[in-house]
Amino acid sequence: MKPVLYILGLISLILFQTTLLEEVTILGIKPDLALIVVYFFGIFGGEVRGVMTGLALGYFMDLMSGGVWGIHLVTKLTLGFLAGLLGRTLMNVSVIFTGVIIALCSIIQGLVFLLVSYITSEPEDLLVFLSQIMLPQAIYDGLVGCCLFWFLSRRFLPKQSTAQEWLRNPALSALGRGSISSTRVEKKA
Amino acid sequence: MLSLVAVMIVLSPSLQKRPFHFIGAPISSLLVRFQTGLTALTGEVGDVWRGYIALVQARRENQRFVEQLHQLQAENLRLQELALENSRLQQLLDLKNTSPIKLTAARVVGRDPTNWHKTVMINKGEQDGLGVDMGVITPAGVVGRVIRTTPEASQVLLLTDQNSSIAALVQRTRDEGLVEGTEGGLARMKYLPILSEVGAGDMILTSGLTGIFPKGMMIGQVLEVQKKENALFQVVRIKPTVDFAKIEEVLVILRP
Repeated sequence: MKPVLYILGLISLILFQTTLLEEVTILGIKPDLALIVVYFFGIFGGEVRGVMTGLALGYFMDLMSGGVWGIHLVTKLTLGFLAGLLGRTLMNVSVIFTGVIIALCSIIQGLVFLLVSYITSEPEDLLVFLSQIMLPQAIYDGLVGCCLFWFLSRRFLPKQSTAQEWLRNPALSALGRGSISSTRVEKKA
Repeated sequence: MLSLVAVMIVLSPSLQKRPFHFIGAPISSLLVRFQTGLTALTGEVGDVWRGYIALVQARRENQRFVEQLHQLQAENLRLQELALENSRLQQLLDLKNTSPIKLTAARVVGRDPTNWHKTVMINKGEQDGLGVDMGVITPAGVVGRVIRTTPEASQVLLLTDQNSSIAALVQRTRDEGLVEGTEGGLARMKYLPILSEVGAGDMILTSGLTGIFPKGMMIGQVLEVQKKENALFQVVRIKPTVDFAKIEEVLVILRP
């Protein structure tokens, strides 16, 4: 049942990204929810979950996007893996730190897209790319990541431990091993 | 005996008036006062009662009216939406009926998940006769071309995507070039001869050379002309006539 819900959740996310998210664009820019979700799955769920989520979301993004096929798959998969590695070592992750890391991920992903654009279609105005797409998107992604992390941490996470240790005890049922209800029972005990 | 007295009183008008008048008058007067008071009180109580009942009723009616108002507002909104849709579809139909080219209407059902590319998904696919490289238009002008199809849906690369390229000409000067999307979501026309007298405000149309679009369809309006020294060509920035943020229905050119 859980894998089915997982897949349905990811598909819903892509549908949301391609339809309703158009309504919350700022200066024509919408956040990359797939990137944020892959980051969270990686950092809280480990490399395997990060890679699996990156693979699935990257594939769906490639299906729906007009760019070079496979670029999202590769970038999201890599992001999921790196976030998984990062999650092993990070201690006491703060909201701001999470936002900055997500913004950096967004910038790196943007640079990859830019590189591919140079190879495939010779874009002429780098400054427009940077100022009108890459940086606004990074800021938007970072802010949305901050809000999401703040919500998740207030709701589910304890204060001290590495990111992935959070999952062993409490954490996010969708991401982790263990459920929210068992977490609450543990907390009460 | 009492019956006899009563009969006598009844039969004699003088007895009726005299012996009882001094008793009856004050009693009647008193009763009338009470009656007046009671009548006034009854009126007041009646008013309060009716007012209270009316208030309860009014509250219920008010709730009912508010619900009706909300329903009507929702319905009104829906009807307005239908009217707008009807107007748009009418425009599409007019274009479809008057145009010599074979067209099919489709609805935009999704947009590109990224900010890097400009594409939309439409709800018509191979089952409806759509194929790759078919042109997509609205009554306002050129939208783009189909780049990917499935049996039930197709992906359309918008004119403003940097990978898009459409053969075009300047309406006034008849100079030809290629219109491409730009990074900022506008379009530009390249390969215009340096001697072309194109200027801001000129209309750019399809030239019909590539076969995707028939000749003479609106693409956009020239915003500015960029000429570089010693260059062979000039580039013009174009504002597309189609508002890509708001397209909801499109026509796909099945046969130009």
